[in-house]
Amino acid sequence: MVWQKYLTDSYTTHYLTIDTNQLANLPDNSIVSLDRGTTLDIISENFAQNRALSLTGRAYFEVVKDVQNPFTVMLPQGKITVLGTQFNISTSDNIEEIYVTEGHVRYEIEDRSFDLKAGDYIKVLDGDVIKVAMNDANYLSWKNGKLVLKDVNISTAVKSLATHYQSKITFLPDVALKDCKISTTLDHETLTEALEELSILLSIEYKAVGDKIVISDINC
Amino acid sequence: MPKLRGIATILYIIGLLLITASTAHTQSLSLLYTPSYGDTTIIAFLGDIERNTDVSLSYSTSQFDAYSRVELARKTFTTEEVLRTLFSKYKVILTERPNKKIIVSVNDYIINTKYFTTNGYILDSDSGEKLYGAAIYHMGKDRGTYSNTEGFYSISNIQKGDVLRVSYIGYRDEFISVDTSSLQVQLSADLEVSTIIITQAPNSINPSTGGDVIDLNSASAKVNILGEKDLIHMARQKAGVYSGSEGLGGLIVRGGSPDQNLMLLEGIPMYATNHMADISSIFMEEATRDAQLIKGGFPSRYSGRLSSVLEVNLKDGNQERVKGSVSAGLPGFKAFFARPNFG
Repeated sequence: MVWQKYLTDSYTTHYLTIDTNQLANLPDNSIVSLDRGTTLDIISENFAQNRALSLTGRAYFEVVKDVQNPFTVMLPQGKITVLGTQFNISTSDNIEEIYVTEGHVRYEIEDRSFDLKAGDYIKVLDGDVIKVAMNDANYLSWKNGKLVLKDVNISTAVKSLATHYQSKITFLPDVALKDCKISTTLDHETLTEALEELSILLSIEYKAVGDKIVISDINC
Repeated sequence: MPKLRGIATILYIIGLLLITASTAHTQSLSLLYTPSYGDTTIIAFLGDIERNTDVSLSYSTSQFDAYSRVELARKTFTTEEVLRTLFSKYKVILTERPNKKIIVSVNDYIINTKYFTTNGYILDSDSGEKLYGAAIYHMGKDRGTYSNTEGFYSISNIQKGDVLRVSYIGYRDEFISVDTSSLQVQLSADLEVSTIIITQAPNSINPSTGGDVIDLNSASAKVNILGEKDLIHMARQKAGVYSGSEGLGGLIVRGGSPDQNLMLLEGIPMYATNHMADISSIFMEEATRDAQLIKGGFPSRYSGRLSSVLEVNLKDGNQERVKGSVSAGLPGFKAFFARPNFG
């Protein structure tokens, strides 16, 4: 487990997660859940008066309301401004995703701005903003540790598992996946436990090859 | 003694811990559940169990018919009881996991009293060759089917435990009790056939060999030319036989030609049986005992001809006394003389 929180100089706090999720308790009592491989920096001199942060990676924000002092998050492409609310941000090389679970969020990119309310989800791809419906029930599974699979095909389920556990899971090419459906809830279970469950339910056979898990047989 | 008691107490506590540990593990199957519905689908009941108890269920709808309806009593069940009732048609394995999770793995479909269709392939047990036209008989139901050119059969309205008899010529019959909807049958070759004796039934009709007896004293025997009775002319009265040209030529049987006929006199082939442009033949009516015209299906002893065989047997002669006759007509004059053998 690597979890760094250190002062680089008098006013900047730097958070970096490498192989585990962590909570960052900000000076204003806002809480940020950081996914693995996420960097969060406080970029203002006095956080109590100017709540400014920068983020790369994936994080879920629970921001304490302070009307006098907006909360801003600088992203690689755009900028988030809120007063007090809850939302999820995910950034990668050229994609930014913002999903609002409570309250209002303003997203600004270049000279455009978008007002988002609870339930809204936008995806920014190389500066182009796409507003689509969020239909992934497990979008926040990285944060709450709960992966709910409801009658999904095994290939979809394995994709969700791979995202959830941030690992690579593949099938051997001759494994028949047709008509193989699964319903389950994984609540803070490890990948080993999840695979064990699949082997009880669907008699899957698997082994770890390097950092990958290869499924060699499945019986529906 | 107090020391020993102390050890006993520790052991007792360890024992209690073990018991509580094991009950904690079996907790999720003994949770109580009261159904919200009396009669609905399996999948709806599973959702209801998850909503009304703390358990979470893991299952695969590919393993059972999620939308088949089940009726449940409106009483309080344990989760194990309710799951076993819901999956009473199946072989189900319930596995408890941490976090109050139950894995419901359904292994095999037990077919109940319902009617179902069973199908599969009929194969040779040695070669795996598909057998076309094998008979599948539903025992006791007076019905059945045949396997098609692919060796595939399908028979409906089967109940669990019904017996099918699968038979195919050259193979041993198989009697199979059906309990799945897919049934592949392998037949083993049975090449040893016991001796088969074929006998004629006592009152059976002798099938025609294509022979036609020419009755020398019948009405057709009156047919003659210029007062001469002639066997060849008599033969021409039979069905399928005619002469080449008016009154002339030999026998033509079923479109053949005269040389396709075999004429035998006492077993000796005769050539050129006609005299005087077919006005008379070599067969003399008075000396002939019987004649048979065979127009088809000749016995193999008459090999070599295509159309017909005319077999003529002569009289043996009078063994008692000397007898004779003389006749004269327009075509000519003939004399017949019979007497016992000398000596």
